[in-house]
Amino acid sequence: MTSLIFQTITRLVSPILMIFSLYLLFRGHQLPGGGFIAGLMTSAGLVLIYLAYGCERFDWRNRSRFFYYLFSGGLALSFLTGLAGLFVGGFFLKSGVAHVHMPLINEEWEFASAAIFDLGVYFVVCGVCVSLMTLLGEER
Amino acid sequence: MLTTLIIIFLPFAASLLILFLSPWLQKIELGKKLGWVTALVPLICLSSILSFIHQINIEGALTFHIPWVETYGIELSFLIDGLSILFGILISGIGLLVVIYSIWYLSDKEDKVKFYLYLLMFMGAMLGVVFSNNLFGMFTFWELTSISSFLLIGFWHNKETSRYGAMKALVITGVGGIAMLAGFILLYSITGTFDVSKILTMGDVIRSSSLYMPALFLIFLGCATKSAQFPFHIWLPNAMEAPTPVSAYLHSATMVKAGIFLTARLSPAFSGTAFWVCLVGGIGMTTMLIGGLMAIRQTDLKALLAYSTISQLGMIMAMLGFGTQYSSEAAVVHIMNHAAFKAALFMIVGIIDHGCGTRDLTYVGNLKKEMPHSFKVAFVACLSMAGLPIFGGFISKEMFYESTLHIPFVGIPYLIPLIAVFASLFTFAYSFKFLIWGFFTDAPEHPPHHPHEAPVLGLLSPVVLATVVILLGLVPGLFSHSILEPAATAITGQPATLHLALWHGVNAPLIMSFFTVVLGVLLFKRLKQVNAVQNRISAVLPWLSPNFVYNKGFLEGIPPLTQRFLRRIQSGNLKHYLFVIMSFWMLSTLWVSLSKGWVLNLDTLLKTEMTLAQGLTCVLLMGAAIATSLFENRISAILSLGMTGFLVAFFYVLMGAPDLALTQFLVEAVSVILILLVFHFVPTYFDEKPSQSTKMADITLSAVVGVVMTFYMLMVMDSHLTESIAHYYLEASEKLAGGRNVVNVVIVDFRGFDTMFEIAVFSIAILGIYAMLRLKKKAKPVQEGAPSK
Repeated sequence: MTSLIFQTITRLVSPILMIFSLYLLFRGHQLPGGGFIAGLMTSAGLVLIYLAYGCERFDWRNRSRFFYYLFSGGLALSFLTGLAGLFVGGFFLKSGVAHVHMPLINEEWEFASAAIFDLGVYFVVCGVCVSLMTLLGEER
Repeated sequence: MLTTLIIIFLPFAASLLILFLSPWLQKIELGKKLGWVTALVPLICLSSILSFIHQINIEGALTFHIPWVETYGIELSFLIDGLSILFGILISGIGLLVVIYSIWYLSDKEDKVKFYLYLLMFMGAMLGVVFSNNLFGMFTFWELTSISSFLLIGFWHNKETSRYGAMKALVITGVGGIAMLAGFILLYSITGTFDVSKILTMGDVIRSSSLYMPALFLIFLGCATKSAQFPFHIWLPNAMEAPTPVSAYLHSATMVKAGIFLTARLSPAFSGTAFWVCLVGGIGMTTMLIGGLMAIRQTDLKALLAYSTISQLGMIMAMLGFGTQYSSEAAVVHIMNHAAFKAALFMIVGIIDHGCGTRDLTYVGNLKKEMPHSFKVAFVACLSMAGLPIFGGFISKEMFYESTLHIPFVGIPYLIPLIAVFASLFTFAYSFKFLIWGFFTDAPEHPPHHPHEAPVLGLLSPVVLATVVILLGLVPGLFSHSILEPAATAITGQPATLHLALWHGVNAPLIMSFFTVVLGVLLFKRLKQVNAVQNRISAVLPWLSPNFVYNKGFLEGIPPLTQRFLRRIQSGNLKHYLFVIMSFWMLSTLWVSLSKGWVLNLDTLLKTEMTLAQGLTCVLLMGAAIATSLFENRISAILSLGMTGFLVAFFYVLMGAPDLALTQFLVEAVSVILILLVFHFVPTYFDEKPSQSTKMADITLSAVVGVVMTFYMLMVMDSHLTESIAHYYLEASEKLAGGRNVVNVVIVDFRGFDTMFEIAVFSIAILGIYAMLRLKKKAKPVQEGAPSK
């Protein structure tokens, strides 16, 4: 599918999708969003690029290895967050919240361990969707 | 505590070390080095166990806990008392001797790395079983012994018979293990704890429970399979395919003693009822009799020892089954005796096998001159096994006779003592068959090569064991106070005092022993005729042996059945799978709702209000769903299916659920594209026209799913079976998890475990797809060559 209109729109839309997905990821704990949604949105952006430019342009086939690492790494990250909860908090997946005063901007920032878990979810969703796409879209 | 952990985990750690070093170890010239290093492990374990003896004798049993899943009482915990010390000494002590013996036995051609790896793993598992204080821990180690013994028995895996023997042992002990697990769960439901030391104090509660009989039966099934009790004894003779050090280890002190151990361990909780005496004692006496009867028939020395082990285990089991203070003490003494003389005899068979090239009595005989040292060891061990004076076996045989005279719950007098004497005749006969046929009389044929004696290294372990056998007879006091008494105490729960001596004056047991010897000599003289009769019987009536059931019923009967079953449920047709899943789901749902008598309250349904936008969305949704099922072209069908998803998402927007709507939109967008990509693989049009009956079945199922789900949705809106936990989440979300987006907090925190496994499922799914798409391509050339099925 090589349509100039589609390619132009994709150039415009996919960066916005990516940035917006990161925004959703980081605000997820407080407002609508979160790792699952953000992961899907990032994959949607990548799927757009894939559809607009085809398989060869970005050498997806060889890059797909990155996405295998991404989802395995994400799974490991979530699991390790759980383990950290076990060792620090006493049981598996115990979460914690830390309030840190940021020196320069003089604001109270909140860090939740669940957010790291959510990051793992983001990686898994994103990695799985894109790997699936490259696998299914391969030329046969 | 540290010492306990060392005892149990050192063998595992050492085997892991061997495993990781194996690429390096395979390369270098090993010689005898690895064996000597390995021997350090049982040596350290043995000395650690011995260091506990003093403490146990003064302070009583010790327990250690390392909590794991505290909510369910699952923990790593260890119980150190007389019984576990006795078995620990046998396991590590005989383990040490077996390792030393194997240094001589294994030639340089053998895969020593693998041998010591399995052996240490097995040792660790056995030590784990005897020191466990938690039923789950014990079960885990118990299964580990099954697995590692499978590896050991099948060590020469290129031999068909080895594989058969290993498989048989695994199947039989595995089935027993599962029964045992069920028994443990029943035991838990009686006592409410997995802690063995607590369970042992709750004997009265257990015995008066209605679950007593099933629990005991199931647990004893595990013990009986492991300890080769009739009719599960059939795996043991086939396990003789293992290298001789393995047989010496598994069948004298460890594997087969695990069942004895568990019966002894749980006897304070279970014994003292008529059911216990009948089950444990009855099976024990039967096994003793049948094992002896089979043993006198064998010409293969190792098979003879295998059946004699079955018989001896039956005798120990019977003593535990009688359940009196005295019989338990007798059992403890015999456990020690049997381990010593049986290990020695197995090692002698290994030496004979090595020296003559065969161990069959048809070829082997009159070895007294060629193997003078082996003869001395065999002499001591055989006389001890036959129960003749000055050796340990005599003492325990006398105690066995004495305990048969006082059995509770048995109505017929003299019955059990008579069976005991009768069974002991066979013990006497096969002991003498081993000794006289092997070392005195000439064999009918010549062995493959001229017999020669083993070097010092090979003789070391049997000689040590023979010394122990003599010491057990002459100075039993050496062991009785420090090791045997605490063990007997642990079995009965009453403080035990042993007065072991060779001479007790002329009493009933001595007279029984006298008759055993006289009749035994007569039986031995007629042994060839008896054997001929036995061979005839087994030729005419092959189904008498439980082996018949295993071979014909299990090996030939079960696989075709499972294959047929598997082909039925795993047809490979996706639609078929979906049909089965949906039908099951509907049937179970309907069954639950009908059995609970749930009804739909129509009033609430009629009162439900709906805005115009919501109504329109619903109508469009239904239209899209119907269209999906009508399209002939797949792409249209997919797009229409995607439309239903987007409409549902829109419905969420109308209902004010931004998180859900966002998720639904994205899932729908990505999945429509992915499904379209899948369509490279399938034809654009639905070509196959389903038959009328399939169509009807599909439509019926769809209708049922639709109606039932609608019914449930309406009912969920109406009823509140339990109090809603939404308020809890709303309140706790910010306080406990520091997040104001409750949906997200629920996903990543409150129900983090769910999410964890969901993403794991995600990852597994992609691995499966990878395997299907990428690996299938590579395998194609092979498939093309293969005949199509």
